[in-house]
Amino acid sequence: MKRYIYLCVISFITFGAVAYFYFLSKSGSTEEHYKFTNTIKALKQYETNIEKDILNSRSFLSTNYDTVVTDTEAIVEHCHSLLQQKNFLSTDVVRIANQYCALVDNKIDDIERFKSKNAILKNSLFYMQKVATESPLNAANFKISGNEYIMSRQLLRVALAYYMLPTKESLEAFNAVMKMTAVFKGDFMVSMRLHANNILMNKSILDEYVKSLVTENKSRITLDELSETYTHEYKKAESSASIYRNLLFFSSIGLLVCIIYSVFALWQAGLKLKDANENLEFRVQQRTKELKESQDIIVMQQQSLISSAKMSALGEMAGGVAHEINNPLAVISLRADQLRDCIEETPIDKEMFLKALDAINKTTDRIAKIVTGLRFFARDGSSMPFVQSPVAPLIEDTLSFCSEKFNKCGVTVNCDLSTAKNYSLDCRPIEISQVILNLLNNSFDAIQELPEKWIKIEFEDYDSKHIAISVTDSGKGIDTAIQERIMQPFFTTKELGKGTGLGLSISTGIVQTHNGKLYIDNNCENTRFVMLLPKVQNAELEKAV
Amino acid sequence: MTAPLKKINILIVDDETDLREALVFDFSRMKCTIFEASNGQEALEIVNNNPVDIVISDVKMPHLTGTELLKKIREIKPDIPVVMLATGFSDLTESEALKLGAFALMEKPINRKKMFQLYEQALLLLNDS
Repeated sequence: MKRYIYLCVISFITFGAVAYFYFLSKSGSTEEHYKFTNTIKALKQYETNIEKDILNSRSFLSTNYDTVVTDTEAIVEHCHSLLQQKNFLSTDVVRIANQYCALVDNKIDDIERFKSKNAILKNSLFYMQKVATESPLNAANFKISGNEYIMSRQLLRVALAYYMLPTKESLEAFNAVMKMTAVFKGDFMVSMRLHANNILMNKSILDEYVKSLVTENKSRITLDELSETYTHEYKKAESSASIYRNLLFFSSIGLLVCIIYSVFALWQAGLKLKDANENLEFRVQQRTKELKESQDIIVMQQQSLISSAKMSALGEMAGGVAHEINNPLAVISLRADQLRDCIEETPIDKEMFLKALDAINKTTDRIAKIVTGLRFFARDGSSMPFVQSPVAPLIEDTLSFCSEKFNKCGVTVNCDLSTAKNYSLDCRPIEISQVILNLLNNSFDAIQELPEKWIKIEFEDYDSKHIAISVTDSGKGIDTAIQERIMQPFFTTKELGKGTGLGLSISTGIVQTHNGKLYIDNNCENTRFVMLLPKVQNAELEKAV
Repeated sequence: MTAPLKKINILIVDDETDLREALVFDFSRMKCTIFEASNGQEALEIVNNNPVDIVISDVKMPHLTGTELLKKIREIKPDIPVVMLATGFSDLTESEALKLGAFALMEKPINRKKMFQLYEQALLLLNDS
């Protein structure tokens, strides 16, 4: 059970991680990145172009600024676009971009100035060159002497030399020639000197511009910084994004594993449950089988106990019957012997003879009574039909069976059947007789040790539908605590070996099949068992109260 | 059977009336004086108050059993021979009876011949003492 709780917790955590990492692994829009990097690339290209253009325009022959113009226009345009992309950039990058754009603005100004200065210089160079290359024949046109002319050419040469290579030596040479030409005061030389001075002046300025525009191109440096910073940040973002992507990947794997494991565990649990069920089923079946077997054994033992009880009851009864027949037998034996003696005498004492015969007859009647009582036990009464049985003979015959024994042991039997004279009971007489005998025997056993020993049998017309036969003895009643239990099988208060405890339970059963009731009358100070029986048995008869 | 020299007083004790009458019948024909009792208590009273010579007693009786009666008689009048009449079921064996001082024990149904033999023996015993 704990395992499943852990599994749920881990699954939740993994799922949370997956969601978290998913959101974090989203890198910035690739479109914007490409747009930006392309802008940077273009800007770099244009920077290079402009540098090249600047350098080219220094060449003596080139005065074409078209490419410079287009390139500067392009660079400006790209700066605008750069500034428009501010939104997805970090603050650092934006700051540098702003710096760069400012520098580009400056650059534009510088380029303009460069262009104008370059134009002036180029102009001067061109003028000087033009003048100096005219043929000496035209010197006269200028109204200059040959010397002046040669000096002007010399001036051109050093100006060019200085223009080409502005070193200390070339400057000295230039200055020397300038000094030499200062002599000539004419317009021609004055203008030449002016132009040469232009060249001298502007050259360094120009060189300065070149420096700032090309060699020490601040904007390019800034651009590089911009590019680097952005790349650095992008890489960082990418790498962290890629880390999160990896984490996402692994946590997804983890979640998948959790899910698979859960499914597997559920399946396993399902199998286990099925197994456990089968096992349980099997064990239940086993247990049921065992219980059934035990039950069968118990039933068998009960039956064997019942049959041994019956056997011992039979034995007891056989003993009782033998005992009771013994005395009458002794009488018959003695009297028969006496008859023999009588007949051998002469004269025969007729009176004595008849007396002996009478005694024999009387005794045989007694034995007949006992035998009559036996018939109640010769057959099983439970399968017999219900018949109308006169009550008085039924009770008397039952009593006759045990009255001898009772008398012998000093138990007085009081049986008043005067009220029972005309009653017939719809019953199985053998079974009712058994119940009465059982009650009588129970009473007999119970009062053996008492000072007062008597048993009373009574008959009563209980109500319109029932009669009551009761057996009362001189005992002082039965403890209410055990009254219910004594009707149950195998309960007995007799000592071991004396009673099986089956009598009352069998009697209760018999009375129930007769739709009657067997109960103890607690209103009597003595022990009194009452058997209530319906006078008539039929299907609609209610049970006795 | 010869008539004895003097009249013998015999006490017959049995709660079985018919059997008692049969015995009384026989012994009265032998010219004995018969005393009858139907239980041990009665018998004891008769023994106490009358000159009884021989006692024939059943074992199983109400009020005072034959065994008790035997013991009592042995206490008060040990000279009287007591013959016990037992059934096979009456819980008194011959050896037990003799140990308690009975003259003899007879089992029912009674062998009449043996009964008279015992009677003769008892008489001899009485004449000797």
